[in-house]
Amino acid sequence: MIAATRDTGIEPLGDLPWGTHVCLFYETKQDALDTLIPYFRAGLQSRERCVWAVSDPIEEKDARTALHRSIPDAGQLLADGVIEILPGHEWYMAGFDHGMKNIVRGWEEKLAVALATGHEGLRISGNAFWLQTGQWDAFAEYEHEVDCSLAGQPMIALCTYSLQRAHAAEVLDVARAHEFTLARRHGQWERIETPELKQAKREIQRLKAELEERVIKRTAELAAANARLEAEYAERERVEAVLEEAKVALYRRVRLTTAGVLAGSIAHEINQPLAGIVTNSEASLRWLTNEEPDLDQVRAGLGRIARDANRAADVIKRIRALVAGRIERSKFDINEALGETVALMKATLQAHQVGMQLVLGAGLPAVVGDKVQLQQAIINLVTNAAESMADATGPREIIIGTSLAEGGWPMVTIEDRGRGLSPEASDHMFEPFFTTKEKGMGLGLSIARTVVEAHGGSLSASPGPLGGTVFRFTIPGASP
Amino acid sequence: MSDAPATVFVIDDDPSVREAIQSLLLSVGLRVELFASGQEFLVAWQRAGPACLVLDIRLPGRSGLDFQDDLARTRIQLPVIFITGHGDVPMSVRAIKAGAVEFLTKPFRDQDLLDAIQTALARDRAALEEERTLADLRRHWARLTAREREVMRHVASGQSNKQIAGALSLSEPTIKTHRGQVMRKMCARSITDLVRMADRLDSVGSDT
Repeated sequence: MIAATRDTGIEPLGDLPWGTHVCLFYETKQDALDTLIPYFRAGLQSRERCVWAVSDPIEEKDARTALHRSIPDAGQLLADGVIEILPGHEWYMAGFDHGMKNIVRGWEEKLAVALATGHEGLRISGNAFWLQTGQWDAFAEYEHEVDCSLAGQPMIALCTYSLQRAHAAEVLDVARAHEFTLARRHGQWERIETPELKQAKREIQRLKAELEERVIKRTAELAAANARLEAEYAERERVEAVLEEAKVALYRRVRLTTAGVLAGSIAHEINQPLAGIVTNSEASLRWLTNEEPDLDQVRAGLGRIARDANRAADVIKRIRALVAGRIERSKFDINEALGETVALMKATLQAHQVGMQLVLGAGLPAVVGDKVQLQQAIINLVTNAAESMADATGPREIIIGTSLAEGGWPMVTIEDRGRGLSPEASDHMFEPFFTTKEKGMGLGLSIARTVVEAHGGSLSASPGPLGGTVFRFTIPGASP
Repeated sequence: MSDAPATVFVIDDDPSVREAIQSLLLSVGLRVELFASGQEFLVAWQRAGPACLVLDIRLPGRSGLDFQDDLARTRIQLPVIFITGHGDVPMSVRAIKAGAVEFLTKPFRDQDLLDAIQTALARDRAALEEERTLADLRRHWARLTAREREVMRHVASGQSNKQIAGALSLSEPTIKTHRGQVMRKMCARSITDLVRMADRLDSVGSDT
């Protein structure tokens, strides 16, 4: 593979791309050699063919001696034409006679040879003796031709100028014709920059600063956007949590409201006949104990009492029928129903600082029943479990599982690590209004049992292996 | 009219409650009239002596509380006892503020209802008595001549016959005669009684 840049062998320049056109001003002959020898050595090492057009003050023999001195196999390389020394005066003067383009064409021929002999490219150097000849315009034209010719070619050129022989104006003109201009004076390097280069550099500097500014600005923008995203994400998480809580709260509110409305209307329906019964009994007593007891009135009163009592019983019967009729039967997967319920209760469990483990059995038959009612029963049982651990010092965890019970029915177990059950609690916990909690209504477990039994299943509780309580209920599976 | 037998009007849409209350009230010798709605009562209503209303809160159409407001607007002034199958605190507060005698929750104790009815009837009797006194006063006042009314105003403000004679440019014996007529026509037993009557007429905005 051909390297993208070439080692110039010139210390201040380092590696430069093909097509580079360098100008060197030298003070002494030694200064010129100090530059040219490393230049060519680097070219030879990079498998380039080298052509050195020498002229005063460097003689051909000076060049050979210098090469031999610093390049071990210089003799062989010269013999093989890998490096070629040309008499510069003749080489260039041919150009003056037949046009500058011919010199350039000469270099192009050398390049063709180089490439044909397996070299990676051509490295040339010429000494600008013409500063003495006063044929400046012609050489300016030449330099321009070289510049055009070099472009896009695997070729590097180094033009050397004697400082001692150059005038200030010429130095400037020459420098301007090259991409890079160097000076070597008594063993020291100096860099000469043309106004264009300076301007270009300034422009680069400016662009670089601008770029950096843009990078900084863009980085800041990205950081801000990132922070915004993070804040939005956090806000979204918070809102989701609040929403979840609100959902659960609403769910409860609806339940309570419905229960409250229902309770109110039941109370009214029952209180009417009750008021009749009570008032009729008291009126009848008065008719009996009056100075002149009126047995007809007493009889009528007792008849009304019997009628009102039956009416109260009817009301209760109607309510039961209403509740039973409310079961909306559908076929559903108990694991799915459980998953939905647990998702709904996340906030509640977090509020109680209770962890939860789901152990779902596979291959359970589908359940036929009122999904919402059964989920309510599960909510009641899980809430009960969470609340039973309110003052627990050990780990707070609820293990909710499904499995296949005997008889092929799905079974749901809800196990807590609470205090367990007192004998009194074991006897009465499913009765309405029985509670061991300060704020409890005593309806949760009672409702759970009613729902499970309305579905033809059964609910029971027993001490759990972890010290708490396990509630289990089975529910009939759908016949396949 | 306050000496006439008292009547208890019971408005409840529930026949069980209505009949039971009727039996209870009859057993203690009260007259009872039963209505299933406020409208029914308004159609039949006629003042025939002291009375009170036993009103169920939950009625078809307008509630018992709204009916209480209706009564106030129609100028039927009757003490009200509320009974309710399912009452709450705000309801009872509203009822009592609007002048209800009592607010009972069904089922209620018979004695509580009877006590409330007695209180209500006593209140109605007093109101009727007051109404009758005022009516008498107005009737008497209407019989006075313009001169007699003038004399009565002066007497009520504590002036002597002489002062009144001076003020009205009449002789003292003339004032004395007018004054005798005023006492007789107003059925006043004493000057103090007459002063009280004048005050009363003043306060109800009679044309004094």
